[in-house]
Amino acid sequence: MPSTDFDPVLSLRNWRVCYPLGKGLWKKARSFLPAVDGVDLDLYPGRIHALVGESGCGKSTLGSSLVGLTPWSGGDLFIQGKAFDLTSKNAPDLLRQTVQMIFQDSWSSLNPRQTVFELLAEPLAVHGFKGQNGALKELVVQALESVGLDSSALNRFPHAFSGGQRQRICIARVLNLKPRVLVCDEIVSALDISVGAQILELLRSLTSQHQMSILFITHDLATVENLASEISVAYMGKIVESGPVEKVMSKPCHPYTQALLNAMPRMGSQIRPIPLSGEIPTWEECDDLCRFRKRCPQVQNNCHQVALACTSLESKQNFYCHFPLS
Amino acid sequence: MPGPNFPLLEIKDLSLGFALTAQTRPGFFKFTQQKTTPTLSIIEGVSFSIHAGEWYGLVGESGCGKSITALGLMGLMPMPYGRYISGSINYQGQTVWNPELGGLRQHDPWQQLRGQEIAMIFQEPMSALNPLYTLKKQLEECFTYNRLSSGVLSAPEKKDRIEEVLVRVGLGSVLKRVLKSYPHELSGGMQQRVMIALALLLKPKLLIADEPTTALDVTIQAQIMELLKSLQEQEKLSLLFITHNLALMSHYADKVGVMYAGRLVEEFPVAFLAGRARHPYTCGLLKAMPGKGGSQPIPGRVPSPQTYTQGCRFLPRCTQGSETCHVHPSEKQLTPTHRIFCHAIH
Repeated sequence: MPSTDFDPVLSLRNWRVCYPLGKGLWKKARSFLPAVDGVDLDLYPGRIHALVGESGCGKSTLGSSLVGLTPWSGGDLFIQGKAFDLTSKNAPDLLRQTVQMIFQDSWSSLNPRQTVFELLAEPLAVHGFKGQNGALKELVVQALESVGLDSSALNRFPHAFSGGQRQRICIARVLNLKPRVLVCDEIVSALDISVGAQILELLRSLTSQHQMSILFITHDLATVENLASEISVAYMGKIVESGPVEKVMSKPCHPYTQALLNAMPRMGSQIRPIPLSGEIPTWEECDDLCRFRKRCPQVQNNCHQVALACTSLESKQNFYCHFPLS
Repeated sequence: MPGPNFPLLEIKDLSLGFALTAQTRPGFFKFTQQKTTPTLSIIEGVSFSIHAGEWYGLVGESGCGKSITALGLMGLMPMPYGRYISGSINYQGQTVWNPELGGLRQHDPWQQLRGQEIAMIFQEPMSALNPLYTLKKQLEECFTYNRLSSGVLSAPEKKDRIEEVLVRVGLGSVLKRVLKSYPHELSGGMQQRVMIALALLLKPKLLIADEPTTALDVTIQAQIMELLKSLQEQEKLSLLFITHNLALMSHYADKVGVMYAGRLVEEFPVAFLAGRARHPYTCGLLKAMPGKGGSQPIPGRVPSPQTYTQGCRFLPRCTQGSETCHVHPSEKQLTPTHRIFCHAIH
């Protein structure tokens, strides 16, 4: 495993993604919903970075903004230390040469009318592959084999495969583009445990083989524990805690991380999962103060009055909380 | 009245399947005879029983027939292709279905049970609730379609019952808003609570929950599970809980049944999950779970019903398989509560 001293492949600083509200054909947006509100993130080569949080916390929006599927609203993006020009017209296209994405639902992300060969060749054509047909086929077969399928799959359609195999095709599709960063949005949550375990195993071997960096978006903390090396916990568009997985999972500082860990069912544990009371607040209630304060068991007066700042520990753990757990 | 040891629901050697072509109905053209069509079995020889106040968990990968078992128990096999092949279903000692009752077109033995005795909650509340009606209307609908209760309760009584149930599932503080709203206006957790309220409305004794928390976050999942647990403890509700999450199962269920390729392969009390489960498939599932020590996937995948064999169906993926496994293993009783179908385990 490479050391942490490696430069990050991709860095985000104060990244913002806002959705316009009440916008119509002739109507201007009334207001903006900050789904991702000032996020800092570093992705290192050959490592898996997990992004966890409840649904509606903005984790998928962050992922899709990295490939330009959701327009970004502000912030800085650095690729291997160089600032990326976000304002240029073809910025999303340029960004997609570095960052690629795999989605949760493999069924709807593969065109049912294309064969596997066409599905795998299309991204290459889009990204300007110029070569003989033979070379193209060779690349496609190579990609298929690296995900554990063989060339007999080439002329079949997506419906002929099981969920796990379709997810493998999705992975093969991005491999030929040699992305340095791969965004995986809940890719195993629709699969069974044993099929999901196969996919995660594949992902892990590809990461070390291609020195790819993976942003693994999930709501299932159990899969993260053994897969990722870093973790960020998101709540209401902000990262509340981040750091090395072992540190964050064993000694969380933020009460929200602790609550997520408490709610997770664990095999062999005598304690039943403890639910977190209350539901996610609405976006109108969001401000610079701690957004978790209404559900927080440790809430004190300060939380309702003083804006938060980032605290960093020696163990590379960062968190936003006035009263961290020891 | 059934005694305490009398199972609430008992199924014996139940086999369910699908006809490969639709049955022609004797109708206007009298000469169109009912044809016998080939049937593909999906569930074969499944037996288990659920006692009053018991939480029975059913696990297995997708495609193992867990959901079809649940639908079969509710008399909701997708028609016109669904077929009850053999075996029997008994509820409180009364026969609900056995082969002598035949097809279900003319006679629906579940009419008295569905909703009032056995209720079901589904995986996706968003697709189980009607997007065009307010939740108040959908909750009231329950009384209309169940013949026993519709005549008994007066309108204010119905309203009281709806409010009582919504308070019970933890929607008391937003009761007025929930009744007025449409399904899309609520969050996933709230929708699932409304689904549970719908199921509880007619005071059933058995609740069938088909992956009720798979679509939810861990925090909301824990809330829903605690709610179900309190219902089981306080109102002596029995549950048939279908999931593929073994960790979740280990915290709540009393008894666990493991299904593979349409057959029950092992059944044991939940405490056995840690270390005493013996079937190679159960052990494989446990090892495939994500955890600190990493996970080892089971190689291969679940066979499709077209390729079902007579012998042990786990054989192609099994590490302990031998020649004898080409014959269907018979039931072995390891302890009074531990049943297993495997040649390799003695």
